Amino acid sequence: MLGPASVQDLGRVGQYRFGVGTSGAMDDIALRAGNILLGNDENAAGVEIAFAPFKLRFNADAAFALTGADGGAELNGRLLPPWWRACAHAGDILVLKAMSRGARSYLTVAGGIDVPLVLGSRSTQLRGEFGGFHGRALQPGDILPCDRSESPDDAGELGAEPADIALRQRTLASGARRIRVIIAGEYDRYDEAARQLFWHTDWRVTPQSNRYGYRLEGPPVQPIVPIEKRSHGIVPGVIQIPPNGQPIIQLRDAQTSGGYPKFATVVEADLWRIGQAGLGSRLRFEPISHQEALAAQAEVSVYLERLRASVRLQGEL
Amino acid sequence: MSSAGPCISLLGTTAVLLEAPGAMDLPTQRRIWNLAALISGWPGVREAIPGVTNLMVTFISPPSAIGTFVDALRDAWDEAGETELVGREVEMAVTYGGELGFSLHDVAEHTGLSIDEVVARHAAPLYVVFALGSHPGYCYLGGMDPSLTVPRRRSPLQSVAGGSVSIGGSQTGVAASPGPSGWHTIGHTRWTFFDPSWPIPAALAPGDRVRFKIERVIR
Amino acid sequence: MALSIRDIEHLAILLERSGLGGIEIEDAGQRLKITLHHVAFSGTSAHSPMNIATTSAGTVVKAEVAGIYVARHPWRENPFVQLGQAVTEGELVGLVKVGRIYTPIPSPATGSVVEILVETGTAIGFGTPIITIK
Repeated sequence: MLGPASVQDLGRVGQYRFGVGTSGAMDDIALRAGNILLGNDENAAGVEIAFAPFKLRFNADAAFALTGADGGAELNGRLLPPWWRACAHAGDILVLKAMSRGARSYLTVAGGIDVPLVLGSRSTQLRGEFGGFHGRALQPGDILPCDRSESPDDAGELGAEPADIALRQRTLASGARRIRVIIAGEYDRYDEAARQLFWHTDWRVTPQSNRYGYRLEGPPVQPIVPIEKRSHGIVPGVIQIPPNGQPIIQLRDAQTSGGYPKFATVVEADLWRIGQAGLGSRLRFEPISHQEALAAQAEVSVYLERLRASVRLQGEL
Repeated sequence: MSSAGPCISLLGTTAVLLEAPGAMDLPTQRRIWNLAALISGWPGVREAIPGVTNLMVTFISPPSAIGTFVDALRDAWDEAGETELVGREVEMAVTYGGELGFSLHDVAEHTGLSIDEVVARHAAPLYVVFALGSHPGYCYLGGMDPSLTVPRRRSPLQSVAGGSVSIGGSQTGVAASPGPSGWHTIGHTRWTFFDPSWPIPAALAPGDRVRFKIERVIR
Repeated sequence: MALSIRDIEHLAILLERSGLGGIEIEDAGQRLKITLHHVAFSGTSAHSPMNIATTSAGTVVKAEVAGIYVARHPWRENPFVQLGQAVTEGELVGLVKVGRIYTPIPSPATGSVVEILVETGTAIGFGTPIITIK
């Protein structure tokens, strides 16, 4: 299990100077897509669900969307397609039965989950115990407030093409997910053999992986000489290699600074792929340039722009 | 002054890191504070966050010509002066050792000092808050006695208690809330570092001074 | 006049949905002419109920929108409906992919699927018969 369910928006930016990390959806594209389907602000808060079965009852009529991993969701026993917008009536039961095609599903509702903005965001700061739903993961019995002020009457059902299909990556023969990275500060402190080992290993996602970070397992990668650094800022995606040689990808709830040597950083455009990598899945890293990383991010923007345009057009008809 | 330039590296496309050359000392940190104030005002920059003799710059949107940005950052460092920050002075009562300071013996063993000597040397200095980071309200403190240096853990612990006073490498600090740590915990304090409802959510800021008061030593 | 391929695509979809056969736009010496090859299904607005025709052979489900017919969600193993399958009114019997979205094709009647008239991945226009339910 990669963690509990929690309320997340796109993250709490601009608070690093107080030691406050971004939090936010592990699959930001899925959260955006759900909000686009509903005509919400793309930063509206949704529920990130990292396990199944997950069951929820609607206390009022509401348009909602499910994106991210395919939870095999059923609304009152009726199977819904993945990446789908539907309308629920008061009393309806939504069940996510089992996760496939990813590790995290996102439930968004018209108007967004209406929890207070704390330091500019509705994301749950698990470490700081603030933001989200009372600063904690969701528990059975919680009642989530929804902003009903702008809910459309009945938008009807609609699906979005999953990011996984629109932004398809060439698959590796080994079945490992391909993750693009930019080399980081201490890359030069590893010899050629260590580097090749890093690039050619299918790194396994261990059970000690969650929103804080993914701890990977594979052959130990060691620098030429041990590295002890002064603490410095890090961002989600930084891949550190502690002295045991087993990489850690720092993620949305990670500490905002650290001192373990940094080998590389997962590019922004592929962070969601990490968020959708389940326990036991394997990751293969591939170095790209800064320019290529910007191009990858532009592809994500194009996908979202086309999705926005398609939904807007459909709404006008 | 050292003639070596700073080391500038990329953190993906969302941030750039500048690491100052030379010692982990107050003059270097003052130059980092100076640079942070300057860079914060640059267009496209979201935040310039001081670390321990380093600076992370995050972007609102990534610069398309990163080389140009890196050159500008290097020039800014070369021209940076020193900003003297003198904030308030606070005292924190610490219980050293025991269940919440479970690595005190390891630190003594590693440094070759007695328990009392480790505690005395740790509580002696008036520490300077160099930077905030790690987790909400956490402060990196400058001024630790170098004889207390202990390498970080080979693999981080999943969780230590809030208020844990720890040593990592040549640095020391206090966990502001429970969470994972790669450092060695030698004591505990009940001081409050962070509250999101305060106008400024962190209790301490760079330049503030911290003194640890030995409340008790559990041997 | 700076129209992208996407704008033209959208225009074409709007035309289909509005039941028009084509459009000509002229501006600053440039001219764009779009002619639709699918015959528009006159008298049906986009907000009318499902585009259906009932004959003695059963109820024919027709496309309400131009796009690509999707008989099975690319993430799912099973198609929405198979030949002989019982369906209830309102049940999802397929999708039409338009740009980056999938629009639903709900069954207009309760009965069983007696005919599947188009293959998945086929480009369909407004009014293309898809499934017969009896």
